[in-house]
Order: sequence, then structure tokens, then C-alpha cells
Amino acid sequence: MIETEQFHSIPQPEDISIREREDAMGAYLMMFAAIAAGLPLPIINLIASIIYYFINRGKSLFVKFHSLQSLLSQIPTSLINASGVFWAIRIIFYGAEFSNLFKGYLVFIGAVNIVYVIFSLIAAVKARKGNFYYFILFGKIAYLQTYIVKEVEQKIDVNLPPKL
Amino acid sequence: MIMRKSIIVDLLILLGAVAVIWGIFTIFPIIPNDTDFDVSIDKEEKLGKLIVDEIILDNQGINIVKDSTLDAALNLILLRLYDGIGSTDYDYKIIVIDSPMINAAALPGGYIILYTGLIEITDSPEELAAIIAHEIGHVEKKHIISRLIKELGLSILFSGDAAVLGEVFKYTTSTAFSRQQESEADIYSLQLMEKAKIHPIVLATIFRKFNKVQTNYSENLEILSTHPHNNSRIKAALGFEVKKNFKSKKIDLPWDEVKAKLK
Repeated sequence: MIETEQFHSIPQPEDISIREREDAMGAYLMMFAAIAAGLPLPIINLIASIIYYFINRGKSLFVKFHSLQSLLSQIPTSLINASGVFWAIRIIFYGAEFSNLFKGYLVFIGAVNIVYVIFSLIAAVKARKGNFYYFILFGKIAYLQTYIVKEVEQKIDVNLPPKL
Repeated sequence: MIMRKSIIVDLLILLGAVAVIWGIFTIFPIIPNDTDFDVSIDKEEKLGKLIVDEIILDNQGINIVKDSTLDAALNLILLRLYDGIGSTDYDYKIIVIDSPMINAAALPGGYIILYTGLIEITDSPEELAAIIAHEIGHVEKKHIISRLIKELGLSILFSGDAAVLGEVFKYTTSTAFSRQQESEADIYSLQLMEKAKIHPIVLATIFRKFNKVQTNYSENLEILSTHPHNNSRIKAALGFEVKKNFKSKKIDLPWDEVKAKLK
């Protein structure tokens, strides 16, 4: 099954227009604005990135790849941040314990967001240059989703005379 | 979507990284504990002494029981517990307040308050030692001072204002610690009792007693509202395993005679 898979060829930087590069870069940079807007509820930037993906996926495979990679990497980051917020609310308002587990989680959230920001910036710069940049896991999934050739059933419209 | 080997490997790497980072910083938290406030023992002791002098000794409504037999008995219990504490920066002092309240509390700086109502319901010096050990646990773990700082703030707490001191006294004798702090103090007292050759099971005995008297005169049973989750703590105390070669040593006190001095 794997052998028979077909992939679209990967475009080289010279094939990618400035417009595509900027749309691809926007997928990452847009997140920073959305993160700021979504800070109290980190789910807002996830919604923003889903919208961005659906607007831009039709433009070109290059843009679709980068928007999808940005979206996919946004999902766990948002969920991790949102869990942190809800956990904190439980501690502050419902008297849950300020445990070492939560302290560890706070550090973990910090680490995740730093890594996320750094890699997003790198990816944005690469996209602007017309390059690909594959995140661990998300890069591969985004590539598979974008560049695999989907078999489209060929429906040929044939005009027929009425049955007499 | 087709799952490929390299995608699964990536996923495992990420999950591993999550577990490692979260795990490491859970075991070695770099975010300071509430207890890590930098208050010297000296300062704590001064605050405790102020509360004792200004609030307890000065208050018409609070009577302190002063009796040489009782003091000697409490000293003996405290000495026994010191055997288990090992090195400590605190100099523990016990103050007995004449009140039917069944309560015990610890003030900043190692001042332990016992109410006569509590001593009345004990049947042996070991039971009282268990309670004192528990309060020592709160002191050693710095629960009291960290809670006060959290509630009032450093500057207000150490302002020396009489109203603040009164508030602190009321607060320490009437509000509950968190569940975690209670169980920390319990564990501390169980270990302390073991080291001091008092059987840790006595802590469960005295907790049970609180449950029993609760039905009779609950309005005085302040200790249950300041020490909640009694049943789970009885279980924890019963589950404490002593060392194989553990041998308890009785605290040699004519307890009934000591208690008679309270009246």
C-alpha cells in the first residue's frame, strides 16, 4: 500500500511566489497576535489558526502545508495552556492543592511555549524564504496530509439523448 | 491518515519529553514552596512572645493555668519528645489556657497552646504527647508562619500592632490548616513519636476520642473544625508502620493526679 502512494513533487524556492511565501509565513506570525488576544482563554488562538487554515488551504500546497503545520502544532500547545489555566482556577477559587505536580506543570508549560515560539519563528523565516521546515511529528503529518495524491474518482459527464 | 513508523517514533519522543520535563520539575520543583519565606526563627520567636505577652497574659478573658505539678508533667512530656526531634532551632514552650474548649494550637516561634478541655479528655500522658507532637509538626514545617504571611503579609504581620497580634492569636487557634499541611504534621508527629518511643497508634486513639466526644459536647470541640478530615487521618495513623525493633516506653506520670490539678 505504501509503495503505491503517490506524492506531489515538492516545489523549490524559485517556484514559490512572494504571495505564497507571505501567506505561509503569516500562518506562524498570526499566532503571536492570536496568543496575545487569547491569553486568558488559550483556546481563542486555536480557533484563529483553524480559521486561517481553512481560508488559506486552497491557495497552494506550500501555503496549505505551512498553515496545517502551524495549526497542528497549535493544538497540543493550546490544550496544554488551557489545562494549566483551568488547573490554576481550581487552585485559586476552589481550594485545590498547590502541589508539586502543578509546579512541575507550570515549568512544563513555560518550556512548551518557549519551544513553540522559537520553532514557529524559525518556520516563519523559512517560509518567507520559500523553504520547507518540518516540525517533529507535526511536520510529517502536515506533509502527508498536504502532498499525498488523493485518488479522485473520475466521473465523466456524458450527454445522452432521451430514451425514446 | 496513514500512521507511519517515523510518525509514531516522533509521537513517542514528544510524549517522552513531556513525561521527563513534567516529572523532573515535579520532583525538583524550582518554584518555591509557600514555606520558603525568609523569616528567621528569631523573628518568629519575637512575634510569638509578643502574642503571648500582649494578648494572652494581658487578656482578662484568658486564664493561664499555672501549677508546678502540671508544668513539671508537661516538661517531662516535652523532654521525651525532644529525644525524637533531634536538632531543632525552636525552643518549645507550652502554655495551658483554662477553657472547656477541646483545642490545641501552635503560635509562631514554638509556643504551643493547650486548652484544659483537651487535657481533660486525655487518658494518658502519651495521648497529650501525640497532640503536642502534631503541633510541633506544624511548627517545624513552618505551616503557621507561612500561613500568616500569606494571610496578612510580612509588613503587617511584623508591625507589632496589638490588633494584629490579637488577630493572629484568633486565627491560629480557630482556623484550619490545609489538608496537605495537616497530613504533613501528622506524618511528622508519627515519626517523632516513634523516635521518642511513644507508640504512634496513640495518635489514632486521640483522634478517635475526638470523634466520640463530638456527639456529647460538640460546641467545645474546636479541634475538629481546626483539624478536619478526622476519619482519614485515623486511618493514616493506624497504617503507620513502626520499625521491627520498636519498643515503646511509658511516660512515667501519675496522670490522674496531674489532671486533678486542672480543676
